[in-house]
Amino acid sequence: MDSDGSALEAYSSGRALSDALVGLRQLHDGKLLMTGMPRNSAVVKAVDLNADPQTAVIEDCVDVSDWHRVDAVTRTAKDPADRLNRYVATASLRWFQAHWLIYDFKREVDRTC
Amino acid sequence: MLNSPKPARRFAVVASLSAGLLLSSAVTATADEPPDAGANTCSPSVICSHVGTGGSSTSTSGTSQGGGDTGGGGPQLCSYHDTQWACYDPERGYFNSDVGCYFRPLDQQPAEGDKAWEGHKPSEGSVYSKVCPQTAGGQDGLQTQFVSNAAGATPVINLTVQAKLLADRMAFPAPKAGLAPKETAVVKAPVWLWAEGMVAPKPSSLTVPGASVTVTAQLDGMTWDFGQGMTVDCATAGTPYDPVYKDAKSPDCGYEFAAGSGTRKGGVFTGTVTAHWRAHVVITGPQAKTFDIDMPRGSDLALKVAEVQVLN
Repeated sequence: MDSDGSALEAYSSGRALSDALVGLRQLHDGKLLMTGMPRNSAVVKAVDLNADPQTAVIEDCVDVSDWHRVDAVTRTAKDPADRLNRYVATASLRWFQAHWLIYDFKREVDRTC
Repeated sequence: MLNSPKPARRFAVVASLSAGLLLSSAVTATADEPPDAGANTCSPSVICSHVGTGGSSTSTSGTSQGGGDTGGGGPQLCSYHDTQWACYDPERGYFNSDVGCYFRPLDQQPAEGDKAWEGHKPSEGSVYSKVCPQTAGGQDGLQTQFVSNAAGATPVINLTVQAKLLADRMAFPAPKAGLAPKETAVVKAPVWLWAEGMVAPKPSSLTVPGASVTVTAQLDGMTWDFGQGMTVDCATAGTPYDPVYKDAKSPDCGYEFAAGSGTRKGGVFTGTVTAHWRAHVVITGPQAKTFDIDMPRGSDLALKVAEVQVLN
């Protein structure tokens, strides 16, 4: 487990980073793993190169239907009862030290796609 | 505004990291801790429908965890409602024993006007992540809390607790006893006492918005105890003996034995040398204060002292 979050910190910060770290921790504590892969269909909705720092907004159709939670040892399915399959999400990014950092990731779980 | 196909592709890659790859590193996660808290709650948030909506308490009233992991060498534990939690957790942050939640300042604060500011201006404080492991709050996803930096405001991170944590993590060295003469000490003749390896650990600090704690290592003298009341206190670690000093006394830490060690077990004086390390704590901010924590480190020593010098 990436407990110090060093890799995550290369791609995200702020609330998005905290959320990802908390999610990792909960999986770890529950002896759970994620298997399969999530799929993304991202569209750039806005870029502001005049802002300081520069910002961008991406709307994504997040497809987690092939990404499942399993028991770390037995590999049996442990998906939560209220799990999602596809939903719209909006990622907010800032340009920081020559790359884009996701600092917020808002989900619209009632909007499928 | 600008919208061209080329940057779009790059953004798509990064966006997938947010929803997927950020967490798919959890595929390699291994588990070495007991609680099954995660099994009954919905995580990670990217596959859950109710995250962030608050309410909907599904978590078990988990008071069963903790307790068993107080084994030596583990993290320092903080207590809340008879359950113990690590005072610091790399992902969750710093435990607050008053409310039973972990807090840490968001490394990148939300934009002004974001609801996470709870109506405050960024100049008035900071937004912290809040994870409350014993209740639904936090297990169902991330919560945030505005923390005022106004004078007199209650900070969510107890820097006094964190100072002790920082001090415990600093490597205060145990003394390695140096004694001269080592094999040929005699009564009523100078014996040099010094401790090797007494390099103070580097200062350690923690900074949160509007406050900080810094812990600095200081050596507050040594105690050499040879048993039976033969005790020497020195203000310093002592000066290593060198043959060029011949019969001179140590300039800062020496002793002259009044009796030999011949009647003692094994024919030697045995005892301990203690380095009186001190963690000097300086806390700035609303709860500013300064205090010291004793961090003594000791080791055993043995010295043979002959009753009389044999002369031809």
